[in-house]
Amino acid sequence: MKTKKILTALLSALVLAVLAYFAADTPFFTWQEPLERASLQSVDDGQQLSFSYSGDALTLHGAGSDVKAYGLTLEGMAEIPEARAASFPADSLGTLAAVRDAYTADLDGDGVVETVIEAAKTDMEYTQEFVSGGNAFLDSRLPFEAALTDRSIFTFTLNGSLLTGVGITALLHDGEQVTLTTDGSGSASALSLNDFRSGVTFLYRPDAEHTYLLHYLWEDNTVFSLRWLQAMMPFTIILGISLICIILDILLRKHLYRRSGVTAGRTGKAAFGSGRIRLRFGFSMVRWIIMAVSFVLLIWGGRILGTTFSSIQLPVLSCPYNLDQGTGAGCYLFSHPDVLAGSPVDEILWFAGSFVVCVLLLGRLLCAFVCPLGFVQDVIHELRQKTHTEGIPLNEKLYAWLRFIKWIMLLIFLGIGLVGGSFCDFCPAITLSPALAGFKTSLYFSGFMMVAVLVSGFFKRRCFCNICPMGYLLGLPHRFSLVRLRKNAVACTECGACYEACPMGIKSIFTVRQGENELSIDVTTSDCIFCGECIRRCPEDGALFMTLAGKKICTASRMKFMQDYTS
Amino acid sequence: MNENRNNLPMNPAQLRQRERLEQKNKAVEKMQRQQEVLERENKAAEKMQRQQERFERKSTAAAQKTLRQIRELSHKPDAIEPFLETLENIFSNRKDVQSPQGLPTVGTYCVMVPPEIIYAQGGMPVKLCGGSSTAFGIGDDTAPRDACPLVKAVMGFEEIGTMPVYQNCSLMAVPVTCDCKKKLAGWLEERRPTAILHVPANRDRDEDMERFVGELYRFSSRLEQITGKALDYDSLSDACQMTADAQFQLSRFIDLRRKNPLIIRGTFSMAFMNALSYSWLPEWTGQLSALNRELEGRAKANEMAVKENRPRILLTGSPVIFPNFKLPLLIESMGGLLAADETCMGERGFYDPPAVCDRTVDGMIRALANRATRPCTCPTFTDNLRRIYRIRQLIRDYRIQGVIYHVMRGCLVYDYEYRQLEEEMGKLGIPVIRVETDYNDEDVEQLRIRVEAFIELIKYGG
Repeated sequence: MKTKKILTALLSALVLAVLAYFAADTPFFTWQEPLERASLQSVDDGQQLSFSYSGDALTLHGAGSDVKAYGLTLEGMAEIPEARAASFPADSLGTLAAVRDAYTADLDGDGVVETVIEAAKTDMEYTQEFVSGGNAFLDSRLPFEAALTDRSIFTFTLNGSLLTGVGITALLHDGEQVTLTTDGSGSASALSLNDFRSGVTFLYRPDAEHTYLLHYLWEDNTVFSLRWLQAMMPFTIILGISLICIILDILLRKHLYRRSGVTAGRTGKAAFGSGRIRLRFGFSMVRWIIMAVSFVLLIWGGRILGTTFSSIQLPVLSCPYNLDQGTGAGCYLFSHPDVLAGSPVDEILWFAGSFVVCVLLLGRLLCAFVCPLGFVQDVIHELRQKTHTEGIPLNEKLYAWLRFIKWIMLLIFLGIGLVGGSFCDFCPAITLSPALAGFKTSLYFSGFMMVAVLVSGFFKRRCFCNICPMGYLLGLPHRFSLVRLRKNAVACTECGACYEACPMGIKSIFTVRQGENELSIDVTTSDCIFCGECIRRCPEDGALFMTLAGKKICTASRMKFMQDYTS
Repeated sequence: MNENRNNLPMNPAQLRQRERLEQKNKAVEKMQRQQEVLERENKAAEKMQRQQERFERKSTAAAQKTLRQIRELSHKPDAIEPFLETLENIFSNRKDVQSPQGLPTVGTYCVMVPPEIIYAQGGMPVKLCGGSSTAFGIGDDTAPRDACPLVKAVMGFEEIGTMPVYQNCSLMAVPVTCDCKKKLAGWLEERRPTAILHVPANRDRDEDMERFVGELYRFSSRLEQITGKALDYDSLSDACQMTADAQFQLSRFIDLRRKNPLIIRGTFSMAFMNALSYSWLPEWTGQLSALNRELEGRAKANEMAVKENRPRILLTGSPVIFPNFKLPLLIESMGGLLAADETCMGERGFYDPPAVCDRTVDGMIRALANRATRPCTCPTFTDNLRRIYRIRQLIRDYRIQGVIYHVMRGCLVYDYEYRQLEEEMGKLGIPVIRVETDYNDEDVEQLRIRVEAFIELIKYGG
């Protein structure tokens, strides 16, 4: 019996590991023929040399006969004849540039005539599939070049060599002028995504005789447009598959119940509507509000707030493929140690710092309040509550099984980067967050994972949180967290309501009776996400309470409990 | 010669005549026997009738006596009267329970039977645990000597067959808790449609809980055969709502009861908790809500029930069932203050609410199964440390000064737990006394001396 158990455990671990390793070879939805629809035309309207977008059609402005247009292909820089193209070849990488022949003018009005090299560059991020990371020509035909390497970081090159420690002026769309100073790796990061979505002109004057002008435009995605709907397509497919799975599961279970004879109530139709939802201001409502706000900020935060918080590497499963999110994503660096090792020191410090601060202050509180994947699971759980569909209650044995899977997931999460894989191909979070922000992202095994997350989350509240490796890492050092869950063992009647309510299956919360101070036993465990459900369902006055830095923030109360039920 | 003739073989006509004669004789004999049986039966029936009449007289008198004693207590709130009337109707006027559409009644025997399921499937639950000394006297002949008086009383009620509450039950639901209840279940099953619920002896393991969930589903199927109504979400949800409303009022009452000085005598609260056993729940809720309103008014006007310096007593142990109100009445009359009780026919029997965490049929059944076993402080469970904690919490909430531990003669499980409680109370410095008794009134004077001494001990220090 025991050997059988160990064998099944090892087998499932192996299956998981193999799936994770070959995740990138298991496509769920990939974007194809991305550039065929795009077209380029040029107009000589006397404007500054610049690109503009109208859906899939690009226009090059200010294109006189002295302008040459180039495209980046797999072979390198290729000239686009007459700066016109009805469609783009398959080997295009989605980056275009145009250069005007050098001319002389006195732009700065200092009396010295300079040689001006005027150019324009654009990255087509949405017409094609979104790929993060900057494209660069590094070609002498485009001497001064800026490449967007990450979110807000530009790397500047002059004739193929990095420009370090120089000042570059950026003229924003609204006329504002920002002076950038490049660091040792030729990068500067004073601009936000929103700035170069509407076009920015970089101005570089190495000396009095030379002036380089580069207009850079990052293709803007328009949220809630047709293109955005297109980006949402893979997730819609996921939703559809999940729905079919859920319906099949319900039908199958009804059939099984009928066969096993225990029919009372279980096979009846799901009831709609008769359960009232009582809105009561309390911990639960605060949690929902914060969860919804952070969902918005983690998906569209970059658009709303700019790059104010982008240095924070928040350790939750919010996706780094979504460049619009309000903060950085700590999960990426956890699962990509190679990237972490190659990052600049300040980024590593930010990463370590935000992790330590988050752990010390909040711990897994982030899971219940901030994580967008948790929010999605909570929403789908509420959907089940609304339809009164029977769920799948878990018991100790199943929770032990999930715990085992969690450890495997943790190993995969931390180790897959070392063996040449990427957790992002396996992670379910990539399916929703970038798509909602309008980024077309190809999905590999993640798509199947998301189906599993949604289906399991429908029948068992926050099922994925039980196996989430990021959450486990957050919870490990829970002893230092400022948020604590405490229990008054004398008031507790061991009714087990807390265990029944707990989405994480923490049983010790109702069985623990001994402790230093019986009136305030610390029952926080590494699994606890501080969702407060146990306190909400606790019918005993003061039997369970949550403290923040020693101050009670939420206490169980019989009257509050009763008010949730009475008519 | 004659003999010879007689020995001669008879002709067929003679033979036939003789057979007819014999048959006739037999028929007459049979008739005689039947008449004898009938006479015997008549006699038995007469005896039974006399017994029934005697029972009715005696039990009515006992119920009336207890009711009179309760009514005579000082500081009686007016709103307590409907509850006493319910008890009077059942035990003195021998009426059946009143439900709106004359729903089939389901007799339940322990707190582990969730009334919500019965309400949801169109039944009316009645708690049938008996406290009558008269019925106890009859059951004494059927049950073994050492069986507890509660089971003897139930058997007595069942045998005498004159209580409509017992007679009209369409189904008996007996959870297997203590040994006496277990044998009672078997005994009832021979006479009545009975559903037996297996209660896990230990509730910390999830498997035990899941088994009890299955047990509730089986019970629900059995109910469906009786009432013809299947379990569905809406009716179960409404039923849970009904108990939630009732428990909300009970919680309000508990909040009021915790006031110092005491606002209502514990005997009254035990009386209305007993009345719950025979009441249609929404009606009871309304009555309790009226009582709460009256008590709130009294609290505002500062009309407390009793003086502050009286010893506050907690009554715990075996159930105190109407009309056996010996102990509570003694405590009140000897200058003590019954501040709280921890007995399954008292507040505790209805105290724990189901926490529905999953708004589905299964979620509610799980919540009911959880509620019925996990917080239950019945000593029939193997581990029952939570009872000690519960009593400690009560001591804290009600500022209890002394604990009276009621042990019914033959109630082993409660007797077992006395030692542990005594030890714990010793640590807290709370005096505790064990009182063993049954439903007879004979030992009242003895009890009076012990209770009085105990109260004096608390009052003047020992």
